[in-house]
Amino acid sequence: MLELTLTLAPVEGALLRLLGLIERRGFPLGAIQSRPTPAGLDVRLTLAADDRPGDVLLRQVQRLHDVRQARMDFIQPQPVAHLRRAAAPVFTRVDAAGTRDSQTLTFPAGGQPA
Amino acid sequence: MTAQAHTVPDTPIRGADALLRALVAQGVDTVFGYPGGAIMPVYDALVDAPIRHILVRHEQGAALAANGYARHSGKVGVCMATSGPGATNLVTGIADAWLDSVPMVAITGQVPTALMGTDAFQEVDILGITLPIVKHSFVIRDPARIEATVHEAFRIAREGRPGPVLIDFPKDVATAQVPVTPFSPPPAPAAEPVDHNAVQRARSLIQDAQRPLFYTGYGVGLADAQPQLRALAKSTGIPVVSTLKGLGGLPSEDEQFLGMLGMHGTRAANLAVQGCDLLICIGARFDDRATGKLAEFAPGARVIHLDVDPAEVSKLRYANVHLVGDLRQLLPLLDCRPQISEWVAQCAQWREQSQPRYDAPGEDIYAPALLRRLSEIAPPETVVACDVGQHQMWVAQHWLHRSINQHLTSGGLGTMGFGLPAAMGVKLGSPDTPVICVSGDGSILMNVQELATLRRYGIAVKTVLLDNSRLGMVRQWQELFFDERYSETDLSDNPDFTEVARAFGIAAASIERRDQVEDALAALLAADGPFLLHVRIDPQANVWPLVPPNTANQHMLDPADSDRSKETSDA
Repeated sequence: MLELTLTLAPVEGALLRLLGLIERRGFPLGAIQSRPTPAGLDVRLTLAADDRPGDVLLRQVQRLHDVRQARMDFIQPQPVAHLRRAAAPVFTRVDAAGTRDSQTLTFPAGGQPA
Repeated sequence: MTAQAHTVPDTPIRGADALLRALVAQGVDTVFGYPGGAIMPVYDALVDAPIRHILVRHEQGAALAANGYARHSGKVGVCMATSGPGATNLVTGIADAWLDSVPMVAITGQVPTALMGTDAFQEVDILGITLPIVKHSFVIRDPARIEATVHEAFRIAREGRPGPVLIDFPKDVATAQVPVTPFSPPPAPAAEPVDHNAVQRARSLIQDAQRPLFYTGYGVGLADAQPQLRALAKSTGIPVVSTLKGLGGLPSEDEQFLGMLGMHGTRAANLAVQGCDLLICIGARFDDRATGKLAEFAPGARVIHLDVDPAEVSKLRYANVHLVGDLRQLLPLLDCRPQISEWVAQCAQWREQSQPRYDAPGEDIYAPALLRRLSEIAPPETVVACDVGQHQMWVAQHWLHRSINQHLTSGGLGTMGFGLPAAMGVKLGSPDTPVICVSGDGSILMNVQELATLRRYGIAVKTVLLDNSRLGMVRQWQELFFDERYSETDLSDNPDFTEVARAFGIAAASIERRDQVEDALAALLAADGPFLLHVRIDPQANVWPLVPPNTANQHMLDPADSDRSKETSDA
């Protein structure tokens, strides 16, 4: 799985443009979180990784004029028994500094937020 | 494009006037469009503006004319249309500009903001419709943002990798009174810093290569880097192949140039790509028509990829070295002297064996020979704009390409109907440049209404209409890949094209025999105004060579190969 974290300019069409690009480039959308901040609109997305390179998608996202900053991480699903839904995996972000828990990112297999 | 100084009125002005003020400030002197309800305030303002408006006869013609204008002039092309169907009719031309990286600003009228989202008369969500095919888009809801938005749109359209930008302009914003702000041209964008480590890695790869090859695309033209490409090719001695849109980067007759690669590429170009050990991609993007079966493309090659757009590098083929930035700056840095005499000799041999022949038997007009001859006798600065289909490939293969911006073709979208309006745009932008449109009997009817525009403004576009009474390329594929099951490709009930042209007030002639060609081409070139030459050709003629879809590029179909083998064995 891939996690894309962005800040968008809060302008008309920015989120639609982003989501459309990601799907058209062949990355199925998983979960979406967004919230307005003084810097714009913070968005976090999980994407199903396929055989297309995530770094290319990141560069395609970065060339959108509404994207102020963007980062992509690889995350690995880990099943955790004590969660509310037994089948729901917790996604743990893996970055260069090591492994960090990310208990806020919980999704059932179907891709809807738990 | 150079921004122009302009005076600042003391009193507020209409939004529509502010829009046009901003266009003038951007140096716009020509726009292509068609009026309608929601954009009427802009058309009213046009009456007093120092801008030439070219009234096309269909909005698609406006978008494609702006597209052609931009491709040849290097300026941002501007088109405009009203809301609803006017806006949707622009879509094909916008998509064409997107896929071919053409700087364009499309302005659409929109219903008043209070009606947006209510399914009002002639309301469509053109912003939403065009999201995937624009570099960026705006809806101007705040009248105070009109001029700034226009300036931003032009900056985006031309900066880096160019592309189309849409401005949706609601009618109430166009009629609102807005304060005028002076326009200050933004500072030129800082040049992309050169990655000198990557340059050094690239130079090492080139120096050590046994069989290096330049693979060049339209990015060379967009960067205005043709002189740098030619200098680098000469100094290194490395052979060159080109994409469809990169043709002219090196002249067709240059001995280092092996031709177009890919589906209808030359044998020399495809064999060189498949045999090279280093592929230096310059402003191209590994399009499927160029690569054939991607997994088997240039199988033994390392790749150096130069492009202004970082998102293109390693998108389809992993590049060992990424060089992102201005090609004019990057290309001279790669000058080195690889020892490649054996490879150069091999490529020269392939090139010699790939030369087309124009001695087909019979009395019918052989389209490749006609096109070759036309390119030989036309003034050297002539621009040729094509439609899409077999004739497009024949132009690519047989025209004597002299410079990259003298060949306009819809490479990415493959837009039938592109040729005539694009040629019109070129001629309006460069009135002293001879412009020829090469079209087919399928394509010409897609935008035939623009003959009226040629007539209205006396635009001296010379059209060569190659008529095989078929959708020739589709028919060819049905013959080769669908067991000769011909489905909806017969156009033998075409109108009399000379009568059509004359009905629009365009001089025309028709030929069908080989012995008529020379005089007809002379008449075409000598005509003072627009002229249409209708050329009847063999309905069964095919484009060769052809790499079947999803096949590696060395597997080319070409009946000429068996002819050559027979001649060799007979000798």
